[in-house]
Amino acid sequence: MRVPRWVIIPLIAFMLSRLLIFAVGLASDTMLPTDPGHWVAAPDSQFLSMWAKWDSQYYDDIATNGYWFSPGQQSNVAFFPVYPLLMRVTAPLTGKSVILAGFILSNLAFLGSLVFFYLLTELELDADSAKRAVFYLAFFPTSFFFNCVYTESTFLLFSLATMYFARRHQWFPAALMGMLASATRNLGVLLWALVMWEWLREQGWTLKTIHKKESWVSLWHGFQQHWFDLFIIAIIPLGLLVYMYFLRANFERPFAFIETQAAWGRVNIGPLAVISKNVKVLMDGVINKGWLTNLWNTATLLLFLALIPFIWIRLGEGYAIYVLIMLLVPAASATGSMIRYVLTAFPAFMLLGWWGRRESVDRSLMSSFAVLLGMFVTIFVNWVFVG
Amino acid sequence: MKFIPLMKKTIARMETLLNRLRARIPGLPGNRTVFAAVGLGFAALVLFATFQLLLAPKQKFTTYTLPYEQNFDDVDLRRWFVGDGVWSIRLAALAQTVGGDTPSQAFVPYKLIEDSPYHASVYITLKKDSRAAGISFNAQYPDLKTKQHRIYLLRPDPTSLDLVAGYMDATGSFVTQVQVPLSINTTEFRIDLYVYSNTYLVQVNGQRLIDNRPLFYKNGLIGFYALGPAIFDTFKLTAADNPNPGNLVYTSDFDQNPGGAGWVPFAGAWKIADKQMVQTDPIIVNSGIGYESSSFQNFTLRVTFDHISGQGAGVLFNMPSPYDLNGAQLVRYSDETDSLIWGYFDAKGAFNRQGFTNIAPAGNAPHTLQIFSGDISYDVFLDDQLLIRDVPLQSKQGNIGLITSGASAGFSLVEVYPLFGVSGAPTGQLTPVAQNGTPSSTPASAKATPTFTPVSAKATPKNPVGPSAAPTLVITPKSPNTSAAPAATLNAATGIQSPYHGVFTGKLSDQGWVVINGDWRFQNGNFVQLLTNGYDLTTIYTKTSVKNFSYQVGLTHQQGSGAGLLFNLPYNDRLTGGSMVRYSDKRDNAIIWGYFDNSGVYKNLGYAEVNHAGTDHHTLRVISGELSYSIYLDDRLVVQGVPFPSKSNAGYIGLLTSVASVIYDEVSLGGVGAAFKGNYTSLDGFTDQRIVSGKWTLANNKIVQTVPDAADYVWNTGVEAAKYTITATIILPKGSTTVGAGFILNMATRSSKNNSYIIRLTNAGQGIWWGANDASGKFKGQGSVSLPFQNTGTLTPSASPGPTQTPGNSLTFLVKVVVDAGKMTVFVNDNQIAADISMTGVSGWIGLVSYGGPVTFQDVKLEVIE
Repeated sequence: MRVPRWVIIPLIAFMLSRLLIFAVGLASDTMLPTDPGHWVAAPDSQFLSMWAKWDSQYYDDIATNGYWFSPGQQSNVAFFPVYPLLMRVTAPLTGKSVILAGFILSNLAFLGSLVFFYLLTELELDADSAKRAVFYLAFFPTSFFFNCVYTESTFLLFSLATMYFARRHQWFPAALMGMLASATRNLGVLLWALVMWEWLREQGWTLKTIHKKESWVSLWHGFQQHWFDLFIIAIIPLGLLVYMYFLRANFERPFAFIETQAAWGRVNIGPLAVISKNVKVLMDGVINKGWLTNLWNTATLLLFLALIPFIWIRLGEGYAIYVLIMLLVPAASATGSMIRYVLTAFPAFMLLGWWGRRESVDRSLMSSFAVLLGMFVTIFVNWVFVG
Repeated sequence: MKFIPLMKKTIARMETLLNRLRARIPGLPGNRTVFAAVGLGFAALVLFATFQLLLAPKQKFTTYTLPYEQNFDDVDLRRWFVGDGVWSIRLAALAQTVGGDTPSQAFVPYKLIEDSPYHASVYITLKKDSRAAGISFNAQYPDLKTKQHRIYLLRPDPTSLDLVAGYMDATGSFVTQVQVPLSINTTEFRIDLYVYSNTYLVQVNGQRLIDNRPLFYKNGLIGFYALGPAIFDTFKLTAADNPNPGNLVYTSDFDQNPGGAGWVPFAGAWKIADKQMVQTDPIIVNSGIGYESSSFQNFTLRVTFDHISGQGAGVLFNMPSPYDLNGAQLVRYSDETDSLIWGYFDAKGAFNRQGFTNIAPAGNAPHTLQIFSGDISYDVFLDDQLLIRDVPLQSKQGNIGLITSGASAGFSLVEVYPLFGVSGAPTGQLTPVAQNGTPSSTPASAKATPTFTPVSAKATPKNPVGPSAAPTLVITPKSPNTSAAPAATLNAATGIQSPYHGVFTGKLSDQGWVVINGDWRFQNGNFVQLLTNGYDLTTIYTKTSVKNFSYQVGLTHQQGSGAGLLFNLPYNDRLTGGSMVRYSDKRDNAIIWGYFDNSGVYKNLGYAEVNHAGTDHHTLRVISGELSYSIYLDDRLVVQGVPFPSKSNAGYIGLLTSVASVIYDEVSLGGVGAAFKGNYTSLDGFTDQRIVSGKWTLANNKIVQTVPDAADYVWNTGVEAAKYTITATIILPKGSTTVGAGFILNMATRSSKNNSYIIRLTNAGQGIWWGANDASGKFKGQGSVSLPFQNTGTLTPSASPGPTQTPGNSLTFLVKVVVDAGKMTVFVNDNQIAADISMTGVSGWIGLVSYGGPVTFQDVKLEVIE
């Protein structure tokens, strides 16, 4: 029996990329000194502790002790509940280790993400592009976050599943996945717009045909026949609303997840002001850890912003606007974790997959991604902030 | 497994329903799609339930359950709201361990019970490097650090120590309200904080150091504050009693340097000069300044000012915003005529005059303007003279402000007092006023012209008998010197049975008076207390104890303020359990009332603003009933329905003074009816009437109850009596078979039909019945008589006890009830239909009752004999 490509290619990409990451991680963690005093996620396991740093503490805390909110302080309500909930639920299967549960969940979710990513890219472009895109995503310089105790992989899984089912016009599973995504990350709610866009496209209405009467007539007929689909799609934001209601019920602050952002120094000043400030710092500053972090995060933001017109042309306005918002919302206050946030902007990787049909591009991307991935893993496992 | 067939059955039913719906709603998708949508909704519910079950905080953010005690032996500080500093539990105490210049705070993650006074206490140990430590309170969640009050011990250097109290202003800066130097030579302190509705006070090691500071933030959270290391131990929170009466909640600081804290001008040229807040521009119209630090509700605002040039100074109150006029109430001198105007600014800032009154020119003399702002209306006094009362409020709460128009003026003092419960409307001469801008030369409103004149304080008692004629009823003898408590149950005579009028000659003991403390003497036919430096100096009349009585004293302060009376004292040698009413010893324009608890500690129940007592003669009267009592000062009602928390509703009477020398020229005791004795010939004469239930409209000597639903609706006359005759013409609508109306008598309280007696027409006038309402308001009939009403519509002559013809669709009855101490005789259309019916109770409040509606009462007359 022949294993289908949509299984074998993601599996190979997953295994090769994780092999590289785990090997580099172990070597770095063993060989290089780490500043003492950091939190150790799993005292019994050096390997597990490598993949649970920074924000992982909050997920561990939520899964272990539940939520708390202290006004004006960094509180774990900033982190959405589905991922720590899954950690909590699966912990009994891992000997009550929520960190191990989180690690396994992240890896399985990433594998699932690659499968859906392959299928979706194949649907939008072609099988070869899908193959390349899967590898680009798996070897992206910060793709090690997909096996960390972070929400990247689960959110990507729900996002891709949502969009895949939406493209196949299977609105019920799309809405279910979208609802879970919106309860996994605040930006998950954007999937509502993306799925709506897909529904409009199905009815023959796009931005390109907005000036044509036929597209509006078609939309009206579509609405008459499929209005109930809109009702189902509208369930996507329910994940966010459920979490807000949970915050209201427990802390009387439905927007606590936003309020606590200020404690991380996130003040909404707008993306242009943020970029301008970062560029000024890069021009004036002395090269140190902060300068380098600023460099790669700002550069990532600018590079991905530059991809948006091409995404619009190749994949359509829906994907382009989705990526734009995914970038601009966090960039409105800071770019500190941009190199991580772009991992879930999957249309950009689909575009790279399309561009990779040129061998030179393909080789350049793969080689540079692999090298940078090794570098960032080395940095991350030694408790240096990457993103 | 039974649920599977049940589910299948349910699904089948839903499918049938959906199929039907599909026929009506075109485009409704297939059943599978609809079930999918329902399933998604259900998934969301499951998601929430799972979050709540597995991820909810272990320690819920909820309200304190009082009393609360935190000994810091088992507390999870991670769940506290901690800002800065390093807080930890050390040796069962809360410790802040780091120094530096950043204040740190840790809040207990519980909310205070809303609008409830509380008492918080904590032990604080200062360390060598401690610079400040204390309590943050009423911190507003979630802005805990920027919106809070704070009291703390401040050690600016190793040799000095201060107690500081203040609050955070709108910019998040700490504003010191008071700073008190401490001379306590210790590093361990117990801080006690009492927070009331508008004020708070602070004790350190049992000594009250800060008193009556205004409160700007209410409710919220409590936390601990430290600058440098400090230890906190045994935090307790309990409910607090009501605050002492008559105390200020705000007083201006214009005489301080710097002064004017919290005042923000929004028009004109305002500055502090010569210990006044002065507006110097004599031309500008409506030049205002608002007090932004606090808003007030139910208060007395007292402002003293003088005009420097022109005329037009006054006050703003209940301002929605301290930064503009919009929505504010205004009272000020007119800048056009010699008058005082009052009204309000609408939301757009346009002034709407509610009235004015002509007064003497202001000149340059100082004047005092006083506003009593209640729940729905306000009263205005100028130089202690009542100008207008019960002006409807357009804005019921807010900030206060000062205003001038076409004038320059200086404001020397602004004070705000709380207005507890019923406003004790001070006696004042009504000046002719104009409402709504229409000048009037006659006294305004029916309230100013009551048809009933209460018994004068100087009136001769009905039975002016001396002590020798005192009642012969059983008295439980008490020995003034024995500590053995006499029986708490008294054989008390009713007031009606035990009239007493004090004769102040001879020996005190011969006249039945025992001095507990103070210098009490009979002097020139009066009873005087000469000491001016003692509290609760008491004498008790020991010859009889009484119940259900009217007790009146005539008094004149010789020096100080604080004269009053005692009643319902269970013992004749101490104050324990008794009730007290007297002038405040802090200021002579407040009456306070309360009781002494079982340990003899005074518990205040309320206070009311009144006119200054000065050295004028006043009459103070208490009418004590079964469940409550009322207070009258100079024949004006101060408060009614005051309960007996001590459970003592009978007992001995006495006199009492606090830091005042007083002459009592009258001490008289009578039945409750004595206070209301007289003829009420008009509905307008019931100046203290009250709607208990239903919708009653009073106009043209008619009162109409319009709620049609079948239930008893009650209107209380405000008159309490034991012997009286009440008459009314009652008009019932035709067409209803159940409507009725009549009188409700012997009401135990004014605000409820519980414990009362009812006699009323029933079944649209086909009969009349009577009976009692028990303590739960349940009616139990005692008798009835049918009236000769004919359903055919043929009306019987008025000479018979049936309805008389009335134009329109109605039936008219003239109902009269004669009550004499527990017996009543009933007349309908001048025919006696029942006589000497035994009622429950012998006296009480009198009212009208309608069963359904609309029912009209007209020509209501009440003749009170006792």
